[in-house]
Amino acid sequence: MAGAPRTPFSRPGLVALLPFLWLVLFVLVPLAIVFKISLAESVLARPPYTPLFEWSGEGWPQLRASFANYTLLIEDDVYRRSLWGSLRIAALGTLAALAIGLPLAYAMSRAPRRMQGTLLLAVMLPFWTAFLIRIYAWMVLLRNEGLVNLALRALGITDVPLAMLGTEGAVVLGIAYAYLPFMVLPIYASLERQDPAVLEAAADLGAPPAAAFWSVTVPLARPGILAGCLLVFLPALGEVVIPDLLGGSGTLMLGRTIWTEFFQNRDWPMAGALTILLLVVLGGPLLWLQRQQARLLAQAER
Amino acid sequence: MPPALLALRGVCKRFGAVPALADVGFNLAAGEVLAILGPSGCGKTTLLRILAGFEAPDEGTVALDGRDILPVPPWRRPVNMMFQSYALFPHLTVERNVAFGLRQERLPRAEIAARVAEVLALVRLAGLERRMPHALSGGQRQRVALARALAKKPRLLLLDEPMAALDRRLREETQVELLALQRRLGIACILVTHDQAEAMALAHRIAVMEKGRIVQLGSPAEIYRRPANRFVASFVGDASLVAVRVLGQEGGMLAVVAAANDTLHLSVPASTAPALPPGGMGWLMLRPEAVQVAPASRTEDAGALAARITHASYAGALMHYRLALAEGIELRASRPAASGDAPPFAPGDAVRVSWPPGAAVLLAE
Repeated sequence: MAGAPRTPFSRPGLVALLPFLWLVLFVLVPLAIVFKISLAESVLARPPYTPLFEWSGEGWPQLRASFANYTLLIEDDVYRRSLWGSLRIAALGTLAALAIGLPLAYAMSRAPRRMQGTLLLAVMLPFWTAFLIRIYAWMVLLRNEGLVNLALRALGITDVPLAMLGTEGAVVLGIAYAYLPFMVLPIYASLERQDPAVLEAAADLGAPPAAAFWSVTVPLARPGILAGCLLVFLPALGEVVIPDLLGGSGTLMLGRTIWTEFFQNRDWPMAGALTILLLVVLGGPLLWLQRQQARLLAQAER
Repeated sequence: MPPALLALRGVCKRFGAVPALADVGFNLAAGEVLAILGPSGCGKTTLLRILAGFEAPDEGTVALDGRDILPVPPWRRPVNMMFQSYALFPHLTVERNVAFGLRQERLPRAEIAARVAEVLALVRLAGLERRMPHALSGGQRQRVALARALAKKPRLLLLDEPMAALDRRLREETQVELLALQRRLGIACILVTHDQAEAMALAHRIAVMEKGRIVQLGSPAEIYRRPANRFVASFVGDASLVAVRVLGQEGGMLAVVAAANDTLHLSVPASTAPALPPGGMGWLMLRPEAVQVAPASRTEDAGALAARITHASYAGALMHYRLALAEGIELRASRPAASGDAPPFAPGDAVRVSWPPGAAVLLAE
């Protein structure tokens, strides 16, 4: 007897192959190339690095891999400080986005149903303006003669303009501002799903609103908060434009250092090694997120 | 009379232009179970939410132990509610769910643990302390919700459709358990339900609500035997209702005639009838189990009326009949099905129907 009739859907293997192919072509292959470059040495040539294999004309081609760039990563203070700067600024930016995003998402989820669509649109509205322009706008706001300083002086809070532009604080602010929607949306999604009766139950059992918020709302929104924090932290870690425009010359972040190595020093191998470092740093939290999600899924199925 | 545990006076609530509650008032004694019975949208849930503190009435007073509780927020009221959806905390274990209210009171750890163990044993959930709510059956979730409310030792327990999410068999078992538990703890309860059987089984008194008003408040038997109006009669139990016109009093009986048929003369005990003048319109109500059905060939029942079976359905212990009593007047009758020698009637059979004199009740329009 013949087996079940064949339909295009009876072979999911082929369909799964497509995203896999995409990943190989546009993620794994470029990554391999970057890794290859990071093992080379910088030379004044075109391309500006030594080949990985050298063929002297006879016998087997010789492998010429050097881990010098990676040793330099550890030895040279600049790179360590860039990594530390990236982690610190991205973490502060994430905390700032969380401090603004959590109340914002909470307020949105408690707003009347018919207003929630409009509020969601308002959160995403900044995306309609180019990213670069929005960061430039912050330069205008934060500089010595900018609106913020004008307002502070008009209010009599300060006599001399505060130097805000070119500080680490400005970079943290820029990150919090630029990535706020990525914080708000997942938190809102997890709050919006919550049964309002659960909060009433908390009140009924003696929890005043603040206690109910911390003991019920926040724990239930944990998956959203986690996702929001990673969605802000991970891209902020490699951020180039914000530290470049809002930060000072002393604001060291990995993305910016990679940019400098690549375009100013024309040291492609070093830039490659830094990229691999950034990837390893990003990989940790990503794996952690995946484990958390797998755990939540397993819990939901039990 | 001892002072009432709970006293409501003139409670009104509107949502926009829609009145949800109109002049609701009653007393509840300590240890009493009151069922608020009514169809969906009658305002019974709004009433419960006012007692819990989630809604504020526009007018009226609510006093618990003689003190006005309307200014008291829900988290300070000695009132706890079992929600219809149970509203368990999905991120907390059974134990932590039950302990939630006690932790808010900042009781010592050991006392919390003891109280949690006590109520979990009471609802027969011991051994499931570490389970998460999603890993429980519907009946177990319901008992966690009950335990969580009981753990706070409230002055008043509110139950919002406590059995609605359970299947029929489990519902009956749970009713028995809940009843035993309530009688043992002596806790005052207000139970909101649309299920008249549940209200009758659990409550000392029933308040039947319609369109935001309490139309009748009384014991289950009072409400079943002497419904205040047509709505109560048809909502609580099954009833045949015949539109009638009052003729006048003859001895202890009030003579009436069917509105649809001038030749159909009936009578009801005058003592239970509302004061209707001769010529006044009303409804004659008969419960199906009071209506006796006999074959037309038997002539011994003098007062019996000729009728025809229009519909017969078998329900195990009972046979349910619909009978046409002259033109366009329908009665319902429920007779024991397993009466052995007497075969059940079939549609089309000519029969004679009768009922005890006291079984018919006259209701005002």
